[in-house]
Amino acid sequence: MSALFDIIRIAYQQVFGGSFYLIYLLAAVVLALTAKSFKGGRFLGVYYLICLILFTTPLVPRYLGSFLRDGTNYWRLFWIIPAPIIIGFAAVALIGQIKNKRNQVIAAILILAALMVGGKPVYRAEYFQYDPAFLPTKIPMEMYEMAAIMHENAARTGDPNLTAVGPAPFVEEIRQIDSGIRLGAGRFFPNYHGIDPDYVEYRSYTQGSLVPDGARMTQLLTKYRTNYYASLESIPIQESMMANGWQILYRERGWVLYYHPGIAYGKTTTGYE
Amino acid sequence: MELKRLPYGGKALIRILFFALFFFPLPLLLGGLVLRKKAGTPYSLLLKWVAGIFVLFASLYFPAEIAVFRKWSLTRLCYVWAVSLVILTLLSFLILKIRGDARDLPQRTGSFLRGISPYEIAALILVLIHAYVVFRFTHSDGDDATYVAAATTSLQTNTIRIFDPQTGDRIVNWVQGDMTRIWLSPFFLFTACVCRFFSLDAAAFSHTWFPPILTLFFYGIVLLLGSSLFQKDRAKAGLFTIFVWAANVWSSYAVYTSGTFLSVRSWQGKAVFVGAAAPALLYFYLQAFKRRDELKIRDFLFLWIILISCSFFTLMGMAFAVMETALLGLMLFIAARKKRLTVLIGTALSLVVPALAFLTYTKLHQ
Repeated sequence: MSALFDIIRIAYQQVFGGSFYLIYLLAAVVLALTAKSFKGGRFLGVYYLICLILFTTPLVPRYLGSFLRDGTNYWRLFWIIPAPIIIGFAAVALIGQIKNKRNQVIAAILILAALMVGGKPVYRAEYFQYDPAFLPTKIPMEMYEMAAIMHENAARTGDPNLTAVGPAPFVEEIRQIDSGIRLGAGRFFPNYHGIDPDYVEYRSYTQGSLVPDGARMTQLLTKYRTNYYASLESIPIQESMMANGWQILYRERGWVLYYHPGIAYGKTTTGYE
Repeated sequence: MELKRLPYGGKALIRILFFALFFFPLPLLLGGLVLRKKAGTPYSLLLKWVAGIFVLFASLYFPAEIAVFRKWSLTRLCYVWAVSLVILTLLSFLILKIRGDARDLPQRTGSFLRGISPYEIAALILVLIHAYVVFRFTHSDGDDATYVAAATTSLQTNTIRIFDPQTGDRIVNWVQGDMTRIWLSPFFLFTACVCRFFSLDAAAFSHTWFPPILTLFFYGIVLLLGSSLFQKDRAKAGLFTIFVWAANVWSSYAVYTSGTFLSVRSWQGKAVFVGAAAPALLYFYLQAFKRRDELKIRDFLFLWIILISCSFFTLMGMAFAVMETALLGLMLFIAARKKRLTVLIGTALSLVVPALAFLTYTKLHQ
């Protein structure tokens, strides 16, 4: 039972942060329920109240748990009660109760200020970065360059194998550009690799969560038939890669693209052909 | 490799024109298919546009699911969808002609513009700022990349469900892992088809062209909700939109708020559910609650279209849409004393498609 309550508590934190916004929401629901002149508002208030009560009972995570990835996605339930809608309604309903025009303006400014002080803007560098080159794809130029170089190299050497790995930004962006480059490690950890310790290590190296050891990494890249490796610029990686037969194809804007001519294409162990 | 920059020149202008026609006048026409003549809102054109966008999504859902199961080529899916859209457009024209919806349009538009309030203008400016931010600035992470990569893979290989969008490998077992959810709610195929129609890059469409349109769509629903909540008082509806905008923009106080979703990753099916479908369901039931004693089964057409769209957006969102509909339907059932059977039938029928989709998912995962 306490595990179920934990799921609920964590979900509330994930959706409302601290208690500040939850108090906003509850106040808005109470206002909606008591706003006599807005019948639709009461309908809205009742709906939000039922949902909030329902989401707090352990029965919901108990029966929806498996569908919500064992409760880790319980927060998604809150999608059906978007907080901004009821907060917006309560704000306008509250201002509507005030007769004096000047006081209405003051109330509106105070409510907006409270939303801003209590919240945190989504317009910030963590979410939105400015792209001065403005490619509409919004994918960094170096990813296009690496994709082009891989194709050119494959055509020049007659090597049909275009399997690459690299840190997360490389993996995420290259497949948005070019479906002709196969990735040795996708974003999700495929279930069928759960039992292969080599793959766990391989993925950890290629996704940058382990400090690369050139010899071991070459061994793994050979095992998984990956003949292109993109890495963020690093002298130790470069030395160990080159000592193991890798060539540098590209080096710019913090990225290095390596190629191994000796790795032959064949059936992989990924469960796919 | 050719880098896709902003399009310039005559050909690009024609493409932009057709793109604009596809996302603006076409939904306006299609909206008439699912709405009554008397919209019950001062924003009747906006309502038609919003409903039309849902029709656009819903009209692709069934062909897309068939395409996923039968492994159609993308070209084939595009042809089937294009033919369905032509048929729906002709039907819409017919309805428009019969009902004479466009007859007094200039007068209605004129009186609408004369009655515009400063709050509505302020709300419009803020929404346009938001649309500009999502157009001009960048956000990308692994979750987003998967959806775009799925569309890119379909576009570049002209296949559906043949290659894994994560790795590019040929798929052997498609019901394995997280990807099943993407195949059963294949919203990425909307991106792929639109990109095929207008020769666009999937990444460019998803990151730059689609988000501003979706922002207008999301806030259009907010304005409609405002007009419904405040008895068609346009000033209050405008003020309501301003507060909702502020609550959304300052909603990064926690990790998973709805405001963050609709601002940061709007091209994903789940964000369209959060930003559009969940509020649209609220709007539908609020309107139905107001007209609870004169409801007809035909009024539920809009609800059915929203729920079919939900099945298209995201599997989890679809399950939540079912919860939301069942709950709101139950409340309406209790409130509507004279039309309980209509409410019951209308709501129950709307749940058929999501229920079938959900059963398919559980069957595949057995």
